[in-house]
Amino acid sequence: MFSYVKELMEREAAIRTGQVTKKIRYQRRINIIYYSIFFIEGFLALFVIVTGFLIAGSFSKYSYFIECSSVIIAFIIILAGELNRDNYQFLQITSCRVKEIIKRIKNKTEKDFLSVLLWISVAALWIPLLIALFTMMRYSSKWLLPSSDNFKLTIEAIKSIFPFLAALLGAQLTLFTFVTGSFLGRYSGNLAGIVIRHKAFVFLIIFSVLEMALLSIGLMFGYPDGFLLLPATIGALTIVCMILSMLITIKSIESGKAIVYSGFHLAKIIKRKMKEPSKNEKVSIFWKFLASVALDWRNPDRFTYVYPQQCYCDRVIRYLNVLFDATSKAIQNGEQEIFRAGLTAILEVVKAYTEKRASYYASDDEVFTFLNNRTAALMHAASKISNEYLITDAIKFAGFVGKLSLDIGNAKKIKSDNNIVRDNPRGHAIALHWIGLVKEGFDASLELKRSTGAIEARTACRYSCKSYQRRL
Amino acid sequence: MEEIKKDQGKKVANGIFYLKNWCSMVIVKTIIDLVLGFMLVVIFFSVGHILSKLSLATIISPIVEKASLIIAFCYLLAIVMTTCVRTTRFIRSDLAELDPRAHKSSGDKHKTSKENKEN
Repeated sequence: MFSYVKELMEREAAIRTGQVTKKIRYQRRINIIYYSIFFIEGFLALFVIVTGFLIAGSFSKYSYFIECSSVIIAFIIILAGELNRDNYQFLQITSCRVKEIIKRIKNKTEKDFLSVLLWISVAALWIPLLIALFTMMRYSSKWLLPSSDNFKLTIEAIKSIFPFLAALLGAQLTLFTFVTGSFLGRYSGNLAGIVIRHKAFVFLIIFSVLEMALLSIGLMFGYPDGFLLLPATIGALTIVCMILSMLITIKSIESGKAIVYSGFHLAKIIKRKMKEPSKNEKVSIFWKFLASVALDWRNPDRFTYVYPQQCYCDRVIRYLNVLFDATSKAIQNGEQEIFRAGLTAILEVVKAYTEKRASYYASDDEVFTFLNNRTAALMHAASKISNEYLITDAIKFAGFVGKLSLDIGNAKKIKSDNNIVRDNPRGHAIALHWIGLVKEGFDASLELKRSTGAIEARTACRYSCKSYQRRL
Repeated sequence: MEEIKKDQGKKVANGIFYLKNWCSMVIVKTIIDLVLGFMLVVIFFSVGHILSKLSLATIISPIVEKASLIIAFCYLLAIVMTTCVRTTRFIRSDLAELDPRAHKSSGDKHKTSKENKEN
């Protein structure tokens, strides 16, 4: 009795502590916003004044008016910030918005582990380079030939930066390919290929190549006289590029996150490439006119309503094969982290495919058959290894896919050319296979001593059956 | 009669306490704002100055220096105006409610607008 009361008291205390912690965090966020507004308004005012003064330099006739306007706008920004900082309601609203933005960034980072570094590389490398080039171009009046005296002043600087850049480019290529190859290549070569083509890698390599190209052109043919500061700018940006390359290399060691990224990336490709059938069979006058002049360029895949084109299914199966191979290797090595990442990636691909496939009304599906077979193999392999937690994840995965399979053969009504609404036949033949697979998982995990797979299978089965009955 | 006097005395003491609190809060807030503004302006000005000394961004650096001085003036004006607004708001709402002559009947009414909001 005493232990029960103690447990209750502890639980209540934990809840209260949680609430207090939540309140403290909220208040802290509001305080941070209170002071951040002060600095943001300052930077905004500086930006407005500097931009205004720069523009005023170009339009000498209205320079006084532009300068005065920029100062007034800056003052309004500062005053508005100062007055709103005292308003608690404003701070609360801003706090909610900030929370939403942070949540969105976190979601984005979960999907794409290199996204933050990609944004940093754009902000710290590409934008400064473009601004510098634009400013230098604007203040150039003549072309400096390699024979001129001014050119000879900077030639030493260019020559000293050149080998540094070449070394950086070599190091980037070696590091990126080595890290992705050694950490992801052991699971699947295609997976390593997907990650190495990430924009963060590509942008850094292109940046180094572009810098080298700029310096080479300058060395061979000379450059405009405004570009005298170009070597110094490139030198500073190269150091930033080197730091970013290091950070990206360190980050790309995380194989699990890289596999999850691959899943989201492949899902994005499926969503982009696979077309939904046209919702309306009616042809508009616009397209009729274009067809009359042999310019009807609508995608023919959109006029198949029963089953998606074979090439789409093949593509999805190819993607799933890559991810299943990585997951199978993870089972062999007993790596739960990679196994979970692989299942998450597969689930994302399946979700993307189901989203598009749901518009077709055929109840049979090649991709889901393939998925069922591979998941069964995965489940049996997971039940045989020493890490008994893997089977639980595999059963959960089967449950999720089973729920998704209910969308197959459940297409919406289609309006035909004669305004006849066609009600498609509905059926969930595939879902039964998945319920069967969950049952297999139950049987396999029953023999295990340290696994909650059987309970998970029971929940998944009950859930799937309920969803199945609801859809009928 | 004595009871009423005691009650009014308590209210006045409460009012003075609240007024002191408010004054110290406004002074501290204003000082913090001034210090932060000064820091920000110094940072802007030194960035502009360093850029001009290093002969980097020669077009922008004098503008940054000039802009930092304008921002300093803007901040000063904005802080003064904000303090004025705070004081006006205080006199109009909070201080009026603190006046014991304004609320003779109810004991709860001497509460400030802030306390009322919290309740």
